[in-house]
Amino acid sequence: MSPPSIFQDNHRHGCGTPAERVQSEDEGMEMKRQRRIDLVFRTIMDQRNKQGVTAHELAGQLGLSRANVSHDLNRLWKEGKIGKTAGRPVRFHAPEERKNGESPATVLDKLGREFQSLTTPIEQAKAAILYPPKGMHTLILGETGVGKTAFAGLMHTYAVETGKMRHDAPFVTFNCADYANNPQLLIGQLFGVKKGAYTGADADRVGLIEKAEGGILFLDEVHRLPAEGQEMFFTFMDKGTYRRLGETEERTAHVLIISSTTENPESVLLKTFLRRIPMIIKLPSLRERGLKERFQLIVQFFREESYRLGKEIHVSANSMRALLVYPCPNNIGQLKTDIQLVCAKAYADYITCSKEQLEITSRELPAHVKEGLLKAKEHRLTLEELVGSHQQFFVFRPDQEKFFFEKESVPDGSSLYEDIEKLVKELRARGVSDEEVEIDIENYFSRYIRGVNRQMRKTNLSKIIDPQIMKLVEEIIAFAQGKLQRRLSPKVFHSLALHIQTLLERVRHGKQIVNPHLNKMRGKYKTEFGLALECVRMIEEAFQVDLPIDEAGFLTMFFILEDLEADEETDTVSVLVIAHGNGTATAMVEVTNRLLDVHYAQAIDLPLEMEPQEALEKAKEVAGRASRKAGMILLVDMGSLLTFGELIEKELGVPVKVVPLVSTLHVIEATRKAMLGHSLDEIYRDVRLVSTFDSTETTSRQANRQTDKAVILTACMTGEGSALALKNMLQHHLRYDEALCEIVPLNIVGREELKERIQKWKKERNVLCVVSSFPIDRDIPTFSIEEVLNLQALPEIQKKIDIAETYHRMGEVLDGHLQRVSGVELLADVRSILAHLQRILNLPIPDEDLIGISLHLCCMVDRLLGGEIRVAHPNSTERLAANPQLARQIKLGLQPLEQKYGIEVTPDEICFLMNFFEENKTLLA
Amino acid sequence: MKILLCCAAGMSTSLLVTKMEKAAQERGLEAKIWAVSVDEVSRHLDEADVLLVGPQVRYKLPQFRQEAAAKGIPCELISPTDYGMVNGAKVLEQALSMMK
Repeated sequence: MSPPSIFQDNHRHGCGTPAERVQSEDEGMEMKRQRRIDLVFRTIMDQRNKQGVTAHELAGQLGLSRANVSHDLNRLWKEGKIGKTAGRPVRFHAPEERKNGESPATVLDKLGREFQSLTTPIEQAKAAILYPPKGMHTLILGETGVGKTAFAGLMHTYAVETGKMRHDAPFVTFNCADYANNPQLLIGQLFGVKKGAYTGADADRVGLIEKAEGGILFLDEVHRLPAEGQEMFFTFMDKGTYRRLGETEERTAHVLIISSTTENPESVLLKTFLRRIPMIIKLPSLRERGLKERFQLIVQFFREESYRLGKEIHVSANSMRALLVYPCPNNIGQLKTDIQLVCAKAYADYITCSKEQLEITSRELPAHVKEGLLKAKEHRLTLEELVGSHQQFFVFRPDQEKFFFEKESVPDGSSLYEDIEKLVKELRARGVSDEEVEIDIENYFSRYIRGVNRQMRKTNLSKIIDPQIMKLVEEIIAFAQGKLQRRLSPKVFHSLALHIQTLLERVRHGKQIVNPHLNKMRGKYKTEFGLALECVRMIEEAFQVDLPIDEAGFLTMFFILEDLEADEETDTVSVLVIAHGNGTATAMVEVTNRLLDVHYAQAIDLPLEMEPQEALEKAKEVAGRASRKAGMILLVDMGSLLTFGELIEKELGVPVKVVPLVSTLHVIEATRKAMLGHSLDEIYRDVRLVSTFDSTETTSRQANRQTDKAVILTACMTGEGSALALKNMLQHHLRYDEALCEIVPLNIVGREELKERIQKWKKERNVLCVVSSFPIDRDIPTFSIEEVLNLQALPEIQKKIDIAETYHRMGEVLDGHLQRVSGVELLADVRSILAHLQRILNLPIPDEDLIGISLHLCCMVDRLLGGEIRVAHPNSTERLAANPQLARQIKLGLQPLEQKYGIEVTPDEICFLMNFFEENKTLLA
Repeated sequence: MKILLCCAAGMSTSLLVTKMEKAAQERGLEAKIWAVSVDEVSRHLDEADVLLVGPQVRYKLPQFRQEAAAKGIPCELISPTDYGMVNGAKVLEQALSMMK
C-alpha cells in the first residue's frame, strides 16, 4: 500500500504563455526530481517496520546516486514527512505516528506519545471510558490551567473513537462557579425545573443532565457545587436517577459524569459524593512536566497560531528560552494565552510596520515572560539541548507538522560549499559582476568564521569533530604559522576543523568542489595559496582522498581572512560585583542584566557570616573564566573586598580594576561598556566618573552617547558591497580623526531590518548622518546616494564631522584656558548636565549649539570659582518670574555642578541659560 | 580694525578675544577686539567694524543682522568649530574676510 504522491501539487505542466514554455525544460527536470523523491518516500514508508535506512543503503536499493538520495531524504525530513535518528550514520524512517501498530492511533494514544508525563492519567482515562458497562465517573484534579477541561474533552473523543459512545454523543460542560451564589438556579440548570417549582419558574425546563444523555457531563470547579447539588449527583451516580426541581417522579439518564477541581477534594467535597467517584485522575502541573514537554507545548501553540494566522512565525532562540523557563503559575493555559498574546503583538507589528515577516524576539515579550531569561542560567544545559546554541530563529509554518530550524547548525547541515554555490548562483543571476561576487564571498567567509566561532564558545568542538581531523588541523596550523611567520587565532582553528569535516563528507558523497575565483586567489595571495596547496596535500595524505586544486582556493581564504578579521572580535571585559549582605550584589546584577537584556554581569554575595576568604575563592573562579587579555572589572562595596583586585591579578594574571562603593548605576555602566568592547581602562575611568559625579542614570548614558565615537552609516539595499563602496568613497573624501569618528557600512540584505539597525546605532552612538537611498529616521540627517556620489553632500557631512570632533576635543583646549579646573573633567560634567537638561526639557540641542553652550557653562563654572567677576543680567528678577518652571528646572539640573565644584549658580546666570533654552525652543519649533 | 564679539554673558567669548588678539599681534594687525553680552550689543555696535555672534546665541542672529545691516556693519555667526576649539586665528580670519 504505497501512499499516493504527496507532491502532486508541485507538478506543473509547461504550456500556455511563452514565459511558461521557456521554463518547460527546467520543469522536466523538476518532474524527474519529484518522481525520484516520491520513490524515495514510498520506499521509506514501505519499510516502516524496520529500524530505518541510511542514505547509502537506500541508494544501493534503488540504484540511485547516493548524493541525490541523501538530498531527497533530507528534504523529506525537513518537510516533516519522514523521521531520522540522531547520531551517525543517520537512519531515516517513516514518521513516528505510523511506525507501530496497525489500528489508527486514538487521540489519547497520540497524546501519550507526545507527552510522557501524561502516561498514567491517560491509562486512567482509558480505563474510565472503557470500564464496562458504561464507564466510570471521574474526578480530574490539577492546578488552574493544567488542561482539565481539554483532557475531559479528549476523553469524550476517545469514547467516540472506541465506539463506547455514539459519534454524536453530547459533551456538555458546566462551570459550577457560574451560579455559585444561587444554589437554586444552579441546581435548576443542572437537573431541570418543573413549572411552578419556584417564583419565576413559569415553564418546564430541561436540565443539562438531560441534554448530556448518552454522553458526558463535565462539571468544572465542582467544589463550588453546593452540598444539595452534590447529594443529588451522589444519588444520580448511585442509581442513575434524578429529579427535576419541584418534581416528585424520578427520571433516568445515561450520562458519564466527569468533574474537576483545583482544590483538595477531601476538604471541599462531601465524602458521600467523593465515594461515588471511582476514578480520580491527577494532571501534572507545568512545572512537574519538565522543560522538554514544555518545549513541545510551546512548539504546538506556535504551530497553532501559525496555522491560525496562515503565516510563518519566526521566534528567536532567546524568546524560546524565556518561554521555556518563565514562572507560569497558571500552567498551560497561561502559557498558551501568553503565546497567543505575543503572536498577536507580533502580527500587529507585522501589519503596521510592514515588516517582512512575523518575528518574535525577546523584546516583544511581556515583562513577566522576559523574566524567564534571568532564570535561563539555572537550566542552561537543558535549554541548550532543547533550543541549541546556534539557531537564531525557530520557524513555525502553517502548513507543516514539523517545525524546523531556520538556520541549521554549521556542523550538521549546510556546508560552506553549498552555501557559496548558492550565493554565487544568486548573485550571477542578478547580474552582479564577478568583482562584487568576490566581495560578497569574502563577506560570507567572515560571517562563516565568526558564526562558527560564536557557537564554539558553547559547544565542545571535540564532540562534533573527528579527533583525526582535529589532529590534522593542529598540524596544518602549526605548519602554516611556520610558513607565514605569524600566529593564527584559535578562531581559524575552529573554522578550519569544521571546514575540513564538511569537505571530507562532501568528497565522500561525490560532490563537486568548485571555486569560482581560483585564479584570482592564486594571483593575489601567492604565499597563502602556495601554503594552501601543501595543506591540500596534507589532507589528501591523512584521509586518502583526492582533492581538486579548487580546494586550495578555499583554504587560502582561511589564511588571509585572519588578517582581515584579526582584531575585529576582541575579548570583552568581565564584570563582577561583590557586596556585603544577603543578595545585595545579586540584586544589582539582576537589575542590570534585566535592563540590558543580557546575562553578562556576575554577582557574589557576601553574607555577614561568610568569610571574605570564601568570597575571594569564588571571585577567583569567576576571574579564571575572564579573558586574560581583556581582564575583569570588579565592583565592590567596601572593606577587604577592595584588596581582591590586587590578589586576583597577582595570582591569576588577569588584569583587574576595582571600583569601590558600588551602586546599580555603576554596574549598568560597567556592563554596558564592557559589552560594547571597551577596554578595562576605559571602563574603569567611565565607571568612576559615575561615582564622583552623581547624577541620574540616564544622564550618564546620554552623556556617553556624546563622548563615544561618532558614526556615519552607509546603507544600500543591494547589499554590503555597495554600502562598502560608499564607505570607501566617503573615507577618501572626508577628513576625520579615526579615533573620534568612523564610517560603518550596513548590510541590509540579511534579515535585520535597516530601521532597527539604525535605531540600535542611535542608542549606542552619536549617528551623524546616514547615506541611504531613502529616508529612514527623521532625527538623523539622511543624504541620498546620488548626493554623495556627485560630491554635493560632502561639505555638509564634513561640517558635521568637524562639529562632532570639536565637541569632543573642546576639553583639551579648555584645559589651557581655564584657570581653576581641569577642562576635560569639567567639560565631561557639563555635557552630562546638558544631556540631562535636554531630556527633562524635552529639547534636543544640535551639536553646533552645544559647543557654544558648553563653552559658556565651563566659563561660568570657572568664573564662579574665581568669585571675582559677577555677571549681571538686566531685569533678571522679571525674567525669572516670567517662567518660574524653566528657572527651577535649570537650577535643579545644575545642582550636580554646584555640589561638585562648590559653587552657587547665581540667578543672573540662570537667566542667561533660560534665554538660551527658551530661544532655542522657538528656533527649533 | 574693530571686531565686536557677542555671547550670552560676554564672558565665554573673552577667551576667544585673548586668542584673537594674540593672532592679530602675530600678523602685525592692529585690532580692537572686545566681547559683550547680548544685551549690550546695541550699545557697542556703533564702534565696531564687524559683529561676530557666538553659536550659543544663534537665536539672536536675525535680530543682530538687521541692526548691523542698518549701520552697514557685516554680521556673522562664529563658526561653531572654531568657537569650540577657541581658534583665535581662524575667527580673526573670518572677521577679516567679512570686511571685504
